[in-house]
Amino acid sequence: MKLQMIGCSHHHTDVAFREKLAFQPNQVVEALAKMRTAFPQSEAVLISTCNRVEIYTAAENEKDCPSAQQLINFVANYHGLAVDEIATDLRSLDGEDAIRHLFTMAASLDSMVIGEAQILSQVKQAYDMANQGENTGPLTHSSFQAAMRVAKRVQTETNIHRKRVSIPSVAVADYASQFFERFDDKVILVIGAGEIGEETLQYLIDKNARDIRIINRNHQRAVDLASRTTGEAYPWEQLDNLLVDADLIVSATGATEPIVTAEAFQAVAEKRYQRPLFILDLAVPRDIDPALSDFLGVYLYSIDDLQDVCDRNRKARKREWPKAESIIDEEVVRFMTDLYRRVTGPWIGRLKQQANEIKAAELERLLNKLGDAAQDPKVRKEIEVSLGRVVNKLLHPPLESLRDEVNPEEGPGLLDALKKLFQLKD
Amino acid sequence: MNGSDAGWMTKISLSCFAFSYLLAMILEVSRLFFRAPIRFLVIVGMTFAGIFAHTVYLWLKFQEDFSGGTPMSSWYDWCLMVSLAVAFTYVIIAIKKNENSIGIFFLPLILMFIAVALMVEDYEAFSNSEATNVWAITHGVTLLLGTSAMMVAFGAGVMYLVHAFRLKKKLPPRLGFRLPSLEWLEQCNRHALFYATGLIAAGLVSGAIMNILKSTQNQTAIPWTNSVIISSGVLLIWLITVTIFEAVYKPARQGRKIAYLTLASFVFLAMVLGFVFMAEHAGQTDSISLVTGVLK
Repeated sequence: MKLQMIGCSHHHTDVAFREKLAFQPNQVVEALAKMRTAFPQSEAVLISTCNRVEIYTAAENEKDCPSAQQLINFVANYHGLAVDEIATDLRSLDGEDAIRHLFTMAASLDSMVIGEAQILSQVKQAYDMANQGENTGPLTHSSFQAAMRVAKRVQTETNIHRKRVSIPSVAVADYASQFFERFDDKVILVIGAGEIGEETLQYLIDKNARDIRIINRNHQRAVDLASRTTGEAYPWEQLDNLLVDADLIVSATGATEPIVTAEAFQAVAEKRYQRPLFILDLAVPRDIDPALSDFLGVYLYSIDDLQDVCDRNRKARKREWPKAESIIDEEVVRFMTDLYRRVTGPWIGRLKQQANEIKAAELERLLNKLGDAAQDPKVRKEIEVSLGRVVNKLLHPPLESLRDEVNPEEGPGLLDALKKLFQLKD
Repeated sequence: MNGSDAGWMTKISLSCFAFSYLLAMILEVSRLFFRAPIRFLVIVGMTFAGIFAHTVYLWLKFQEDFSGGTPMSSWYDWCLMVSLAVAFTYVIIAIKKNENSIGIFFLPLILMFIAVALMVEDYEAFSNSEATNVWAITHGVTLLLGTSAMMVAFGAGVMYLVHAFRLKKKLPPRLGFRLPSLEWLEQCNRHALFYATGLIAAGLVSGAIMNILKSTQNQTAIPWTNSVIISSGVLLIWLITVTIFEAVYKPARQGRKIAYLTLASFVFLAMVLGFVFMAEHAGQTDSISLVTGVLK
């Protein structure tokens, strides 16, 4: 039995390298079909995201599973690359290491942003595609289903997924959601057309924000951002009117002085009738006068307020790391034990059968030899039971050792020894 | 259901459901300190167990009282029905908002009304003729529902103020203490207050009509100078004022203002109920029967 992975991730390779090896969804289907042709007895799952490209292969018989070199050749051929160009940067893992990596990756502990939720759905999608292509089998079924179970355990038993670490994600998920139940009926005002404003806007769009109004001193940039998103650009002169209508303001301009002062906001506040207003001031230096937070119904958050949460979340994730790791360890041991039992099970059965055949033959020989003395059913039964006990007692310690063996590095050794010692044949 | 099946149900007492709610509340509070994967299910399970025991208890009491003539016609029953209505509302909101710490605010209200029920357990029940009067039934039922709605509004209002305070002070999100969004709390608060106002106003008006009818029929009516009548009148005026205030003054419709108005309304209602219980209103006056008239 063999299970292995070859691939690369953001840990050891740069984006240019990963781009060369990346598989688009239609290419995944095609590559899996080619693998089925090239290695018909092998199971395969191909995961390709912006941060990693990994191919998992497995086979009940080791000789049916492609070697790491064969897989490297396959990838190189598929993308029309030279083998030498990629071989040194591709990582190869097998057995327990491959399983541990799969579990760690699915649980988002190997991601660029630890705890991001997307990877689990990507793993699920890759597994589904392999299923559809009939590339999966008992080993990939059990390992990928176990990986998804492990990811859910890590998700529910630790806080690692709950803590976001980027300013825009914290601003929307941890704060805006505390103010608003839904975003599709809210007026979102974005002041500035920079990167951080755009990223925050993307998170808001993900939350179904629809009425997005973008304003920037350079109107063209506001128009550009509006065309990239689902917003509408407004001229700078309309700032006060937009402030009156807004439910949520994201401000991230490059201004050196506050663009909304408390004095200017006074007139706006009178028209708002204390309607709650959530302001995210993500600019440095700040765009919004801090005195605005003294107005009734105004909740003003600056980048420093959010940064504290991001830092705390990073620390919290670190604290959760050992807990997540111990879940992975526990699940790897469980999986490998189950896997090993699947391998050893048939051999144990064969050994027992062989012992029973010897016992039966010896019993028959003995009973024939004893003649009349063994005619009494009680005596016959007693002899049979005694022989059975001898066989069981002799087999019990080695079989127990074999069953309890977890480490696959040692496991096949013990199994091989057993096969040789008792001359068990395939 | 035969007698042996129902036998175990007769052993259900007030302490059974009170204990279930208490346990659910302890588990809710424990959310503040540590995470536990199945805790929410246990909380909901305990609350459902409490609601089940609570319903069975009231049903059996109804059957028992029915054979005696006037079921569900004491302040004790009334308080237990209010707490059951709030428990129902709580469990629905808790399932809908399963990541939020709703129970910390609602379960104490449920337990408080169970405690009040125990305090007024010895108060005299209403007579059969009083209890079957249509105005008395209207009075009792609308006040029951109005009080329940006011409790929900109060819970949502307190949550709103706590949440708004935390957000205004920029307190970091705390593990295990997550409240629904301000928007949701405001809507829940406003809707519950709206229904509570209508129902309580209907309850008070029907009570007044009942009293007028009694005085015209030469029956013993409550004097109009009675502290309960006066405080009820003040509550009615307050609720009407709040409604008008909300209609004409825009800021009163949103944010903290509505939460403060709810809190004040709840305090008025609590004062009226306090006067009622202190004056042993139940023993002296005509009032309510909640279900007799309908079911008898």
